[in-house]
Parts: sequence; C-alpha cells; structure tokens
Amino acid sequence: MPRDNSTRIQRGEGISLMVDEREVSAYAGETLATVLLAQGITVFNRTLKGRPRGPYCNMGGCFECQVPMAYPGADTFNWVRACMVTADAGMKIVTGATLSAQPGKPTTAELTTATPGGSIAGKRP
Amino acid sequence: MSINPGTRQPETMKAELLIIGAGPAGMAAAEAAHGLGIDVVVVDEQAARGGQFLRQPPASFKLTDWLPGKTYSKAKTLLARSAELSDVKWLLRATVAGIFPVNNAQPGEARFRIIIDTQDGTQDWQARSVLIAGGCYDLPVTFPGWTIPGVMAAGGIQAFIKSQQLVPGQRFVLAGSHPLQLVIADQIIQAGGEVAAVLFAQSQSRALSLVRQPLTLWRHANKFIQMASILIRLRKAGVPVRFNQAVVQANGAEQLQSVSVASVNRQGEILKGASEEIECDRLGICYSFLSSAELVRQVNANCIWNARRGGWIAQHDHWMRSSIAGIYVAGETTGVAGSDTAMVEGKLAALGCALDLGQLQLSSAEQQALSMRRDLRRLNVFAELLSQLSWPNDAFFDQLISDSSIVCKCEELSAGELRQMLQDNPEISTASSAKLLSRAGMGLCQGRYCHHAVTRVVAQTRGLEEQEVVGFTSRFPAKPLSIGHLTELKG
Repeated sequence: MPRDNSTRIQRGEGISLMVDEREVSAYAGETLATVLLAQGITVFNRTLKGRPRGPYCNMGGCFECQVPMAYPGADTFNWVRACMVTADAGMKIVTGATLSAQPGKPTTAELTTATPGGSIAGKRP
Repeated sequence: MSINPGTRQPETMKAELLIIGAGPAGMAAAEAAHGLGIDVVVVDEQAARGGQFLRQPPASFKLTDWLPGKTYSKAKTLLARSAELSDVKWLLRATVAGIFPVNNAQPGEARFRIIIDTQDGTQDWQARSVLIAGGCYDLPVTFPGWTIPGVMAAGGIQAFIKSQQLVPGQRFVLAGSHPLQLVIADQIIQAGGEVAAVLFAQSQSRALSLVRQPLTLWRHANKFIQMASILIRLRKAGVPVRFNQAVVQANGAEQLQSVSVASVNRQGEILKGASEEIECDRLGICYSFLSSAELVRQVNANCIWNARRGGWIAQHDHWMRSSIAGIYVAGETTGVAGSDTAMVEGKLAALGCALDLGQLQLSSAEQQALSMRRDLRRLNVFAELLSQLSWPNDAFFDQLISDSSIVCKCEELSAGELRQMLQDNPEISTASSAKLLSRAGMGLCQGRYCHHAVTRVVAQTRGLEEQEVVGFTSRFPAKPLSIGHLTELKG
C-alpha cells in the first residue's frame, strides 16, 4: 500500500526492523500498522477460529490490529496494538499469529511469552 | 510474563484539574484553565496532542501543508498555542483505566483517584476535578464480512492519511450516510488513492435538505462552500457519488476483494438482492459516531440515549458539570457536534471548574460564558440538523445485521447465534444480561465494537427502545491492563 509520495512530505530517517524474520525498511515515526500495510501485509493476526484480522479503527479502540512485538535487543514478545506503537529500529514483529487464549501458549516457534491484550502499549524492557 | 508484586510502587501524583483527552475540547479546556491559574494535567492515549480531528504526523516528518483548508484552521491555531502552555503537563501515550471517588474527601482535597496506564507502568493520580473529553469513534456497523481485513472505519482510513501520510489501499469504496465521507474521499484522492464510489444510504434530497434552510445556509456558509468545492473536485476526479445505495456484504477470504451493493428505498428499506458488486481492496464505513462515554458511565454520572448524536451521551448543566460533583464533560462526550462545539464546551467547562474551585467569581464567570453559550446554541442547531439528515434510521441497521454477520468480533458470535440465545431465554431483555448469556462484549475491545449491534438486536427482538435495553455496564479497567501493571498499585 502506497505511502503518499508527494514532494510536500519529508519523512523521518530510514530505519529497519524485522517482520516475520525478514528485514524491512521503514521511516522513523511510523506506527507498526503503517510499516505492515506499506509492505502489503493486511492479515495482522488470526482469531481462535482462524479468521484473518487487520486494522479497523486505527485509534486504539478495536484491538483488531494486534501483533506480537519484541523491543530491540529483547526476545520476549508482547501483543501490542500496531496502530498505537511507533516503530523503532531493531524491533521484531510477527504477523498472522493466532490470538491464543492461554498465556504463554506458543503460536510460532519464537512466541513463547505472548499474552493477547496483556498490556496496553507493551512495557519497555 | 513476570509478575513481581510490590517491586515498584508508583508514587501518587496530584493535579487540581485532570483532563482526559487532548483533542479540541481538552486543549481548549487546558488553555482556559491554565489562564485561570488552575494546575492542569492532560492525559491522552495517542502519541501527540490534537485528538482524532488533528491526528498529527510524527514529529520526525516535515510537511509543508498539513491539513489545509478552513475546516481545520481554528483547531490548528489552538494546537499551536497549546504547545506554549508551559505549566500544563501533557501525559501522552497514557490510558485512563479508571476514576474512583475518594471517600470522605475534605474540602480543598482531592476528590478523585485516577489510575493511568503508560508504557512505563501504572500511574496513580489524585485530582480535585476531572474533565472527561474522550471524544468519539466511528459507529461500528455490523454486516456480513465486516471483519475481513480491508474493511475499516472511515475515520481510521482518514487517520492514516492525516497522520502517517499513508494511503491504506489502492481502490477505495466509502459507504455510509454521513457527509464526512465526501471529505475523506477527497483526502484519499489528494493523497494519490483511487475512490471507486461513495455510497449514501439516504436519498439525495434528504442529504441535501440542509441547503433548503436559508438561515442555516447563511449562518454556516463556509461549511457549504467547502462541501461544494469538495464535490467539484470529486467530480473532476471521476468519483461517482451515489444515493439510495448501501454496502450489504464485504467479500474476500484473506483480504477484501469486493463489496456487494443493494438499493435502499426512501423508507430506509434495503431492497433484497445485491444489485451490483464493486471491486475494491479497502472499504470505509461512515454512518455516524459513538461517544466515548465509558468513563462517564464508570463513575455513574447520568447519561441519556441519543442514537443520532453518539448513543449514550453525558448529561450536563450550563457549566458542563456532570451529575457527579467535580466531574465535568465536554466535546463529543456530551453528544457528537464537531470540533467547534468541542472547543467552546472545553472553555466553558474550565470556567465551571474555576468557579467550583473558588478561583472565579460567579459574575465574572457569567460574563465570560455569555458569548460561549450563544455560540453553542448556534452550533447546536447545525449539529442537530446534520445528525438528522445523516442518520438512516434504526430499522436500516437492523436489516444490515443479518444472521450470518458477526455481532461480537472478539468472541466471534454471530447475530444468528445471539438471536437464537434470546429466543431460548425469554427473560433476557437488557444488553448486560445478553452479554452474560452470550459473551458478546467480553473481549478486548470491551464491547466498544458490539454494544450498538447487541443493543439493536435485543431491542428489535424484544420490541424495546434502546434506553430500555440499557448499555453494557462500564467497569474498571476502561481498557485492558496487564496484571503486572495492576500489581504495582497500592490499595
């Protein structure tokens, strides 16, 4: 999905982060939702019944855009609302993970400590 | 997740006035209260001031003409001034989880304890007065396929453009009944997106009924001129704007592929059978708004039901006092009316607060309030007319909520399942008891995105009015909060 490429916009510095173990470039100041949509990723997570979900309200109210995220240098993942968290260089994000009902239930090999809705913003380490 | 109770006890912080929401109402109240010598803290969940109306680009972006046009100019001026309020504390990326009255508070002492969640843990605040200016959000509308990635609240699409400078799709359809969708279509085009259609459920003559009110036309000429120039730009861009049409289904497995469109007659009846399918990868839903009145309801301040103006909205007196002494309300929390109204209500609430704190004489407050109240009366006439022409009617939504549509997206409950449960349990006739029965409203969004649909389904099934069905009970925490953060609190 296109970033508005008009010349009246000067974005922040380029950063790179890991999305599904793949290095992705973004701009400082972008939210995780923007980073993912700009990559053409629309399925942010899956419900317990396996249904795909992605951003709906983009203002922190609907919890549809949750993704597991690990801060740079940390290996614990927390579910965060992608629309509310600003991308940092070195962050790790997983897309399409199942919103597991049980704390600690692994949803991918990497996701050992994620709890859906466990925190509003994902506490910094 | 590690839980270490008692490792980090947050200290209690104090303010005379704690304002919830840094949008137009909150910013105006902060400026006015600061000017009256009140010690103010403003709390907002977003990363920057401005509210949804002025969703700011990140500080690292540089834009030459952010949100051009007269619509935004007054609030943008306030936003710029608010950055200069050196003594006001802005607590951003912070979520109010609850407001609790302090028992046996002595005069002059804090009357409320406010629990606030931040990235760095929980904060424990005490305040003599609290202003709730939580704004509103797009009315979630339930229909088959509304949870497929690609379907969004139109305001969410707009926020990507306003703030992130991202066009979140290639080909858009906007469907609803509120004129705001024309503004958003225009913003999508300006940002380089394609709009396949803008669909209004109501008739063109109803949508344009404001134009037939010469006095309103004269008094709000600016708004009409802006709308006319938007329509001209949309026509130039070849965007079809159609009336008496609604999206009745979103199609696609992993991602939105198309929408099914049906005709709507003048009575708001959706004619059976989709007349057309439009290909698109992003659908914006733009019918109406719901007030974010959860905290107002949590403190048990009186609310009234007004479907067209935001569902449950806070009652207040002529100083913006809620029914609970020390709690004030302003902006969309009191009924959706736009940013101009919000700014005036914010200022008036600051006067009311100063009056109650003994920092302003009644005569002086009355003097200053005169022009504000005159402005509010004028603005309210417009807001009321706008809400009338842009509200389809309750029965319209009932038809969209077909049995196969998901009512509660968090608990994945369909309308058909809810209706069956209601049929099997004839004693259930309130939203809260329907929640206990079905789990609708028990998920992470805490009922924000299903309570309107659940209320409609119960009301329709039982032949009741929404106020008889009552909303979900609003409890602490107002938004999900980690157990780890909770254990940091004392008492």
